Amino acid sequence: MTSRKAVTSSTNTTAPTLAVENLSVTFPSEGGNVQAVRGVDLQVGRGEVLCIVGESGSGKSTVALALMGLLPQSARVEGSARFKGDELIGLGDRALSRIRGKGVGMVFQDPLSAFTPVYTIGTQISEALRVHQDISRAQAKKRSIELLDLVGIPQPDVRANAFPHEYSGGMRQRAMIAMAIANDPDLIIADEPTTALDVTVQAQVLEVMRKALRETGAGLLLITHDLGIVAGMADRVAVMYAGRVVEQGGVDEVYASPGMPYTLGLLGAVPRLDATAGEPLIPIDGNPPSMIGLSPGCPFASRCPAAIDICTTTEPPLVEYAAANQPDHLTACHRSAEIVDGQIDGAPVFPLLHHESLLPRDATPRDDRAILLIVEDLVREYPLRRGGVFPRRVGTVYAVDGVSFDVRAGEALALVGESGCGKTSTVTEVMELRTPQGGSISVLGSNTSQLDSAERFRIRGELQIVFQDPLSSLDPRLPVGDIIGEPLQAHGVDRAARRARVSELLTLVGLEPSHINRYPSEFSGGQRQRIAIARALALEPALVVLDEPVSALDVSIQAGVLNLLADLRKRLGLAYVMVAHDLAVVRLTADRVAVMYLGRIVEIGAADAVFSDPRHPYTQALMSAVPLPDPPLERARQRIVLVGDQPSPTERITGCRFRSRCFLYTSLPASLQKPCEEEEPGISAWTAESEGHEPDHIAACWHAQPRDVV
Amino acid sequence: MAIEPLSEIQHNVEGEAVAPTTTDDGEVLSRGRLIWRRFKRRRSAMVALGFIGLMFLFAFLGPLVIQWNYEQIDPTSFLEPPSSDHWFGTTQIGQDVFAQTLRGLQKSLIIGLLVGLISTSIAAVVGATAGYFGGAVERVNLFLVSLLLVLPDFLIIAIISPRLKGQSWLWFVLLLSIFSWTLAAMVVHSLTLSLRGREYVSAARYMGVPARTVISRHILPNMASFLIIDATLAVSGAILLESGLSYFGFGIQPPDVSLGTLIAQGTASAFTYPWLFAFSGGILVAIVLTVNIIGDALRDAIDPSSKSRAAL
Repeated sequence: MTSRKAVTSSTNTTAPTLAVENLSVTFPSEGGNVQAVRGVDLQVGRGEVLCIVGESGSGKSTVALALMGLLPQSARVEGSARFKGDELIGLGDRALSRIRGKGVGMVFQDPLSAFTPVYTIGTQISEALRVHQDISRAQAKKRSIELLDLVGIPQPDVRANAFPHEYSGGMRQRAMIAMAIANDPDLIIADEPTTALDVTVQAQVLEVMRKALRETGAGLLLITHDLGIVAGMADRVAVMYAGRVVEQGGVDEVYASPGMPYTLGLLGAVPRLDATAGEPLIPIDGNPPSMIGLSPGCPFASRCPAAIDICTTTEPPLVEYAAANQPDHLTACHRSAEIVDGQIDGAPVFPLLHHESLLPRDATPRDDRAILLIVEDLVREYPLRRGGVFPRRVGTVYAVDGVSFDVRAGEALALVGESGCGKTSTVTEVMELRTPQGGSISVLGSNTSQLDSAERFRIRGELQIVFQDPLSSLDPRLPVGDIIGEPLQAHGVDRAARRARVSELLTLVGLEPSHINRYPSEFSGGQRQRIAIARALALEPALVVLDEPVSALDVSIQAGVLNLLADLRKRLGLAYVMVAHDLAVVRLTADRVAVMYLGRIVEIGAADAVFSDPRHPYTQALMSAVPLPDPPLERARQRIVLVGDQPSPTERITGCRFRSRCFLYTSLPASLQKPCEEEEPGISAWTAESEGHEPDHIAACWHAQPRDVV
Repeated sequence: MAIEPLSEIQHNVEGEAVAPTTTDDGEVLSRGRLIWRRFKRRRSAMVALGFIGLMFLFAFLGPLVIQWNYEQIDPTSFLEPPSSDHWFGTTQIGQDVFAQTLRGLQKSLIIGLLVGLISTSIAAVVGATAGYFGGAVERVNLFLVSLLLVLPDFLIIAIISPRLKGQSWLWFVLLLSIFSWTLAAMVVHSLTLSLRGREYVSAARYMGVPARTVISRHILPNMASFLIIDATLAVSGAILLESGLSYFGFGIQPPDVSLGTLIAQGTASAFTYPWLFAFSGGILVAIVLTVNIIGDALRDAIDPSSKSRAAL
């Protein structure tokens, strides 16, 4: 094919470390052959970082597994992949093992399953060394400790004797990187290496990854779905869709002037930390195609706003992009010649349906609005038990440890924090409507410890929840009509009224009312979340709790759901309590933000104030760790990388609970460190009022200072 | 507002394409009617349902039509093979086998179906309440289950059943049910424990749905495949247990007959006078098979992700 020749010839001058040509992977399945990868061409040069980015099901991980020979036996792999000139495809396991680990290092998504649980980390790294190098046991041990030190494991000589389960997720991933670079490989293949990690730990691991590349001079094939990570790591990027590379080129070039509508759409759909509040995202309509029996034509055509007749009949080849500023920028689109700066003939490819802000226009000052929810000094502790036959209490998990906030009518409060900070426990306590273990909760003016059952039932109608994963929050055995009608039925709405309301709700969340008899499994992820939202809105509640509403969804789908949530709030005057681990996601909707760390709120305030002027060092670190999908900006950022991991919530910490990881604390003179060690800062240890700003912004830090983080 | 349009092909969890299985004709169907609609699509199930209905008609209307009574003795024919006079032949003492089979079928059908229904219902209620509520309810229910599990059921039935002589044979049904639900209840309990943590159960609780509705709408339907398999097995199990007990002289007592007693009497001469054994045995096999087919189809109709449904 002429197009493919163009690809190879452009990089012929330097022999690439990895050259993939026309790679195809097919899995036989009951429904027919799944064409997971359909003719992929890639090159990774010496010391180059190539990122493959795509949504779930795009075939990006299958490419990595095919290169490493780790696909199941049933998979049919065709094409060629040369590592420094040696063909990898079709090699037996024994021959591949010689290359894996020595020439090619691997980092997987889940480091717990990548290590054998019964051997120590040190032993496993030593083993990796001794398999490929002729060195003594003692030398290998010494080298493995050096490697652990290199990736930033504290006390590497002691930790080398620890077992994988004794490492935290971030440390395991670092140990995995240590193992990957143990034999000084020429190429590292990393498959979603940070997806399972918290954002501050992700920043640490990416930092280690960069260091490892510097030390070994290896090339990196990084597979990720996160456009922010790509912006910070990649030299070149390949965008995959439906098993093919649809755009490829230098990372700055592709981000600045994408030539394929899918890339354009993806970049427009990513929520950004530096966005303006209320600015709608641009979602991509529809869902990715099924990989069984793909119809001819461009697989993106059904979702592409710029599709023309030829798009549905002929699949466009990957060719040089006419409007490119660089020669190696390739796109697979019939109309790419017309696309300049994301526009065709001066009109944007993805038109914004409405330009209005999605923030409510209600100008009533916060203090004058009704209070819907007050949480005061809330405490939630879980006993930690050991022993099977006679369990005894060996400790306490302090999940929520004195949380206070309030939510007023029409307001969206975001509770943000990393896993284990107690944000979900907090909203669960609110939803339970029972007497809390400590502190008090009052919903719509009624204290939950004084509710009788009739009152509690009435409040349940005013307080609704949308869970993280629509797959588990919708009963798979109920048709959609019954699911959405359930709260109505529970609150005594009769059949005919229920039926009318369900149709109305389906339309409201952008689904077809005629799909009322379908089961949840017949909908895609984004549609299922819309069903969950419709159910939450059925009783016209005053307050909706959103527990990580989009974190289970792909970028192009999540944008639509985020827009819907913001739009519904504006139209229906809802109040939200939104739990999220991703700061960028709440930027669109939230007008107040509370940042949680280890069971406490460390900073709370109006979203604009917190985003533009974060004061608590943890908030600053959290914001700094969120990667921006903007390569020049992302590379230029001064990143705050926190040390270590979040302490276990089973320990009682004297003084400030963030002290062990605080960069500000370490930079202070001893006299100023004293309060941090001795006394825990209250939530209003720092107030914006004291500096003459708006009063509604407080932080639990003795030494809160402004800092530029975005 | 941007809307994701629904394409004709929908995607399930694994991303495979599944064709829409329900008609989108705008008519709102409750779950019960949807299940019935899906059940009806399975022809074998409809045939099986018809067969069971026919059996009932046969068993209860049949004796009214034929000239012989199951106790009646025809002194002119002993051990005669099937003829136009005696359709299924006669026994050693000249009783009509056809009349006896009908009478036995009456008993066995009702005993089997009732025991299956009652024991599975008890198992579902006891197991699910134990799992859902926890605490004291759980301890009491599980104690009851363990107690019944350690008691030897055959012996107890053997001891109690002579006292039921003269009473309605429905007591016997109850007795059989009481001893056949325990194991299923244990399984239901552990299934409930795993279902209780599901978010749709929390969601239902948070919207104010009462506990009994949560159990009947979310917990039990999601273990429907287990319950249905259990019920169908219990039907055949009860018929066989009843036969066993009757064989040893407990349960149904002569001159009354059940399929079990008929088979017991017929086995000895199964090869020499096959009509004594073949008709009652054949009908028992047919009933058990039919119940299983219906159970299978019901399970598939309730479970929207069931694979076998896609083949329709």
